[in-house]
Amino acid sequence: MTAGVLGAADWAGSGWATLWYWVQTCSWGIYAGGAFAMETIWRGTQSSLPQSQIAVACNWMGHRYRWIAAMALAGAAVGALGLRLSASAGSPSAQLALWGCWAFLVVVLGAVTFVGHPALHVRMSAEMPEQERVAARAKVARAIHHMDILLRVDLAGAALALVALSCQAST
Amino acid sequence: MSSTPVLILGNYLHLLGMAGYLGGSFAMEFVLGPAQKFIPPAQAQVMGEKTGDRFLWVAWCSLGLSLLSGILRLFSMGEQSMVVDGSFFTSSYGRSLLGMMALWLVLVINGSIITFVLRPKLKGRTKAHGSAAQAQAHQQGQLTAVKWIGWLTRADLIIAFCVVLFGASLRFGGLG
Repeated sequence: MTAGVLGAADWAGSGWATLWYWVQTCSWGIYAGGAFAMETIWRGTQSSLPQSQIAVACNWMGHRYRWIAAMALAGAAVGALGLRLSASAGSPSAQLALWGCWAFLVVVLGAVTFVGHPALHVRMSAEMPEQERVAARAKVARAIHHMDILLRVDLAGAALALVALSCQAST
Repeated sequence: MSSTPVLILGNYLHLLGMAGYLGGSFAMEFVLGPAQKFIPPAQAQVMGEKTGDRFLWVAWCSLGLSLLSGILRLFSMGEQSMVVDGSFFTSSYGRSLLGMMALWLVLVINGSIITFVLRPKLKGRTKAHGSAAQAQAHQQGQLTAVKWIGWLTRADLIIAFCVVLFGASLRFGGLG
């Protein structure tokens, strides 16, 4: 006799635990997979496009992507808290590692949002003297370099979070 | 072959495969795809083609990794006998695992249709000496292919979420 999908008795126990674990796993999947996709798919595509169009696309995608990343981290936290309430969170050390990765990625996302991305918006007007224009371009190049580092640190953090998640799944 | 390090490795590779597919699909649908509207059409087409080609590689590698790591997990948990002794159908765990595998197969089929049927239509060039009717038919074929690719990729994203739901339920005995 089957109880059906998430039958009445299940909601009090394994049904809710499944839901929270699903939320947590999807959130980490979207975060880590999204970071990986941007690194492998978008970075590789840039060589086929003019620099000016790359800047326009990166600007728009940066705005959209940080909201997705923030929601994914929020979802990961909600899922982890839900699992804790369901007493299905797994080993304490795996939980601690996962929360540590989560906190690290919140800081990195904050750095990207409030420092990295704004630094890329350097306006250059036609009336600017050549010296100022050169300085502004150098500033943008440095900002791009710093952003590259932040995004790769973000990807490494996401990969570590998946390690912690896989340890949690094994307990 | 019941070993915690092997199980953790299997879990990690499985999560990597899931993240590559789910996260990649999500990024394509909500970030890379919509961004094309903000650049000129000629560059948007190049961007669409290049990102699509790269994403196909990511998707196929993710599906392959999910399969191999899934097999590794089955063996590391000592559940490989489930495949032959019929408990696939008699237990909640088995049915959920079977459901997950069936949806994975749907993703493979959809991916095959996109890779080998629809995308080649987009790459085909209109013949220089063809008639206007042929050129129009070719263009119509390309537009239809674009529409079908859009529907299939959206369906695949929803199916991927369902696969993760089945997978998550396995930790707690299956869905039902």
